[in-house]
Amino acid sequence: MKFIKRYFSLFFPIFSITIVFNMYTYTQDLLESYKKNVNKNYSIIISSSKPIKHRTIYDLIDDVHIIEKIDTNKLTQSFASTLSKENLDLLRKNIPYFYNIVLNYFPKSSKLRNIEKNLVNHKSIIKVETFYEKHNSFTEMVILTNGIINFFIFIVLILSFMLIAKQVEVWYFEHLRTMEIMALFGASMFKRTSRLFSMAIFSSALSSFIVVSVFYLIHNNEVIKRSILKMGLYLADFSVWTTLIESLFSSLLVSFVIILLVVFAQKD
Amino acid sequence: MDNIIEAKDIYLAYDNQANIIKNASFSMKEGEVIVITGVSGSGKSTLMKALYGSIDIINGSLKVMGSELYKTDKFRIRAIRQNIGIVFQDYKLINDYNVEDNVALPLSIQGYKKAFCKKQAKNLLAHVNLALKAKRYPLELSGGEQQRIGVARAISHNPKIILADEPTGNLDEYSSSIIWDLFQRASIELKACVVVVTHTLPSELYDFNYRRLHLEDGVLNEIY
Ligand SMILES: Nc1ncnc2c1ncn2[C@@H]1O[C@H](COP(=O)(O)OP(=O)(O)O)[C@@H](O)[C@H]1O
Ligand SMILES: [Mg+2]
Repeated sequence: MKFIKRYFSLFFPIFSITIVFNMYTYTQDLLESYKKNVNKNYSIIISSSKPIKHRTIYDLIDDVHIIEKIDTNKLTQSFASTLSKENLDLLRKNIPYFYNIVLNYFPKSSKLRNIEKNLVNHKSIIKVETFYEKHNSFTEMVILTNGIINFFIFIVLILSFMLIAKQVEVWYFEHLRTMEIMALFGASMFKRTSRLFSMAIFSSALSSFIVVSVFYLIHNNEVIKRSILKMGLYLADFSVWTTLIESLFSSLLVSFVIILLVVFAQKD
Repeated sequence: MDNIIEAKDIYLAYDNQANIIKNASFSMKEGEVIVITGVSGSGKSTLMKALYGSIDIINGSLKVMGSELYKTDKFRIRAIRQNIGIVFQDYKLINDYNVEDNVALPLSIQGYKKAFCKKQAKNLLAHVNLALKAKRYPLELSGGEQQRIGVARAISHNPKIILADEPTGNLDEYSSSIIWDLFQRASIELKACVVVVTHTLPSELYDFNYRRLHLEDGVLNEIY
């Protein structure tokens, strides 16, 4: 019982660090996938009085992925039966040139406003159409939610760090006598606190194992899979080994650093 | 041959209080046994603390294994302590380690393999008649049993120096003779320096070569 209690004093904060760390990467992956998806269906359309060279647009805005000229022939053709040939030619001459621009990234609304302004300022561009409204509502909410989640993840991380530090300190003072005796037989500080390190290793290994299992189940859950697919999102295949190694490495690193900070703050 | 312990005109005191030991000198070569006597409160334990570097001398020179203790860094102190086996007056066993792990503590500190530590601990526990208590915990044992565990721990790592503070204080005559026998063997077989603080000298009948120092009013005298 005593053994279990001792080992689990570090387990819970280390477990919450590991799970929160993986939650962060999971939601971040989802968000990235969402942004890419929004980007795919998203474009800026400009109309101009004269043909515009691609170079001109590249000069006006950064990171352009594609510039497409929108074919207006089809549009004018639909009027062929109703308009006289003269009028049709007039229409063809006067109809502006349309271009569809896709960016390499997903712009924030402030960035988008900037882009709009740059384009409008060009003398031959008549009008710029961005899907600003659509962008503004749902996407902003997704980004906001993600921000809130990240904030809570951050709080949990800070609390867990503090809890580990507290537990290490408690352990240290509970074991002062033991450590004194060890010192009398020539044990270094590292040796005297070696049980702390073994507790951290045990806790990190167990946490990583549990967290990897949980996320394996999440990634392979049919319901979750289907709803992700329905949203048009895509998540890379779950790699058990990468996740395990990342979790183990990060939890060990964090707990060792905290142990070293707490232990070596005490006088030798 | 070099002295393993060399005390020259040392003064000992607890932070700025009156001197407990004044102007004491003695030296020991390997394989020697010294018995220190003196009434309670005369400073015997204090002298032992100085020998394992737990308190610093106020004045004089105290060299252990060639190092002036108060001048050496913690790394050298550690190295020296790994060559010392201490029996404490209050035992100082680790209560949440079992008997076997307590005995093997100096060995495990020095990084010996678990199996070797276990074997050595078993071996020594058999010597002090505690083989059957290897898996028990110190607080489940009598004072005399704890004391014998302390002795077993002090010699488990074949130290160059053994410092024993009243190691037979709680023991009957038979158990005491076992302890004296262990110390004698350590001095002969391991060529260890053995310093024993005691009230009860080894029996006259016992064939044992040792020097005797006596502490009185802060003064250390060699009697024989
Ligand atoms: N940690 C300490 N701080 C202050 N004085 C101490 C301390 N330990 C022992 N003393 C005092 O030093 C004197 C010698 O104590 P000690 O060396 O334990 O005597 P002995 O072992 O011969 O009985 C005693 O008067 C005791 O009160
Ligand atoms: Mg004493």
